[in-house]
Amino acid sequence: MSLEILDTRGDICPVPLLKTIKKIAAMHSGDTLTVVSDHPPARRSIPMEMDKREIEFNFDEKGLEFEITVNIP
Amino acid sequence: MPEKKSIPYIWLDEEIDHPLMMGEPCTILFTESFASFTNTVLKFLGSGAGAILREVGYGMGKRYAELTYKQFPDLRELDIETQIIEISSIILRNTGWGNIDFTNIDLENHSVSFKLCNHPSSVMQREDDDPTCHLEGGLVSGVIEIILGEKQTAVDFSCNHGSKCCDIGIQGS
Ligand SMILES: [Zn+2]
Repeated sequence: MSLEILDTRGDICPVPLLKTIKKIAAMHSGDTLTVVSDHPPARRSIPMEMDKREIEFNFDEKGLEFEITVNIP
Repeated sequence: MPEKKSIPYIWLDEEIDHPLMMGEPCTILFTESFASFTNTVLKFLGSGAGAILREVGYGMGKRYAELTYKQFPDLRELDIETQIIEISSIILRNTGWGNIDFTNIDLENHSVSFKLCNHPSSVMQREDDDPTCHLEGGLVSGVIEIILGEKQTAVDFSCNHGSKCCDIGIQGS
């Protein structure tokens, strides 16, 4: 089980979402991925996609940035 | 202060000495100039101008969507509803045509409706009740046509001049 961080700070849509999807596909069940972003629209697009894929996640506000931690099913 | 982000697909091509957007030559204009252009066209041509503006927007929307897929081919792997939301939002936001919020996506009945805010036409103040956001409505219909692969028409404009948002409906056939 690995724990990885995907730093998408500075990226704008659709890059944070596409990078997240690609990263998830390369990880394994039980792994944890934390996506860091500072692009406000990604607050909506990444959680929406995780909900669609029925993937659990935690959302943490970090000032102007935010982190979405995903448990790979 | 957060760092200002650049838009990754607009750049100056030094070879042709012209800006490119998604690899195509582009012309950047002020939102206010576009609003003034639309206002003038509607004033001189009346309601017939709406059809012209919708047609221009429709062509632009199709082009934007094709080039967005070309730049980000992985978008095709998202489900259709997500593609509609993401691609429309990206194009409108990153090119200054407004912020879109979908209120209904009914793929079975080929109808889509959305609230559009901060679009160039919304800065116009007009005396009459005729809609002004034809170009933006046409643009979104062109984007959705490329995503769904079926002809789309912007049919329903609930336009609130001077306020920031309008409600628009699109019908496929
Ligand atoms: Zn309007």
